[in-house]
Amino acid sequence: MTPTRAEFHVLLALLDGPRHGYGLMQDVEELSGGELTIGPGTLYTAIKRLRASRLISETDADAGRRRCYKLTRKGKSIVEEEARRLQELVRAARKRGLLPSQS
Amino acid sequence: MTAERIYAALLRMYPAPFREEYGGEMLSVFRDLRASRRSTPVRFWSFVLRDVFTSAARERLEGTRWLAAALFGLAATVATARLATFVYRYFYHPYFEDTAIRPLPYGLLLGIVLGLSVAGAQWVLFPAAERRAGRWALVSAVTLPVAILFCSTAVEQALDGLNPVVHIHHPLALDLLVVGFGRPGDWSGIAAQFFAMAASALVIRLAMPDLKVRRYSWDSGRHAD
Repeated sequence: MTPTRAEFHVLLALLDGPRHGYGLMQDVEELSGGELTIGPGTLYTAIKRLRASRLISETDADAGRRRCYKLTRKGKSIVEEEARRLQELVRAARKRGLLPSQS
Repeated sequence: MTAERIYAALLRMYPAPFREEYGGEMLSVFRDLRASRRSTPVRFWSFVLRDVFTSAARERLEGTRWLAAALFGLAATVATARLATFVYRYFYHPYFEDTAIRPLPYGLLLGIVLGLSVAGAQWVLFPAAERRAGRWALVSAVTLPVAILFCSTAVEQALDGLNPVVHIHHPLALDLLVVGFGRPGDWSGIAAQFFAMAASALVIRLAMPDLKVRRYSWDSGRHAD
């Protein structure tokens, strides 16, 4: 499965450990440098798809009784695979002069 | 009306099962989002509305994918039956006089077409919802075309039975659906043909390899996507 942009950011945010919905929204915004701001609708439709694909699972609620989500082993391998794919794309873009080469 | 009540009303745009599963959490996240908002109310609400409209539409669309797969199966099966009739008529030879299409093999053959077309449509339309496509969507996408074709054939049979001498003009939908289906003369033949069709379609669909989880065709953009 190749995750969408929002799904990839959600998976990336969960690498640091379990998060509740609002925590995920904040992490996604921070990880994308403010480029991607997802609302509750986008977040929970992504969570639904990721749960259906068994990339994330529900874990114990936090102190505020909010449902938390964690990355599964399959989710971790998918996010690693996607990160590698993006790295290859960046490398190809650098090679063709689209991006400045790394010093 | 408070902002929370407005958002709770907006949640009704999502399908009921989704709302029951995530509605409470979404409301709680909305509360946190609103408490920490840094933008003007207009910008905040335009973001919220865009998020609700796009994600609810996507969720609703996903719920109708099984129907699209079923309708594609129906169209492919009807087209095959019509093509078979055309070919038969085109190459007709008096040698075939008095030969009748046997309900069971004909039903089995059309079922193979139905099973393959439903499986193909589900492969395209259910990229990330593998489990659902593999369970209830599988059966419903096969059952619906068989039920439609059986009912259409039964209606045509009943209409013809009203007056077997004078041709009765059929509604257009019947002409579109039934022509080419080689209607057997009796009801047991019709039942056998459609039972065979349903059985072979289900077997073919079940025999297809599991749908692989692939990406959705849409990608996420800034904000609501």
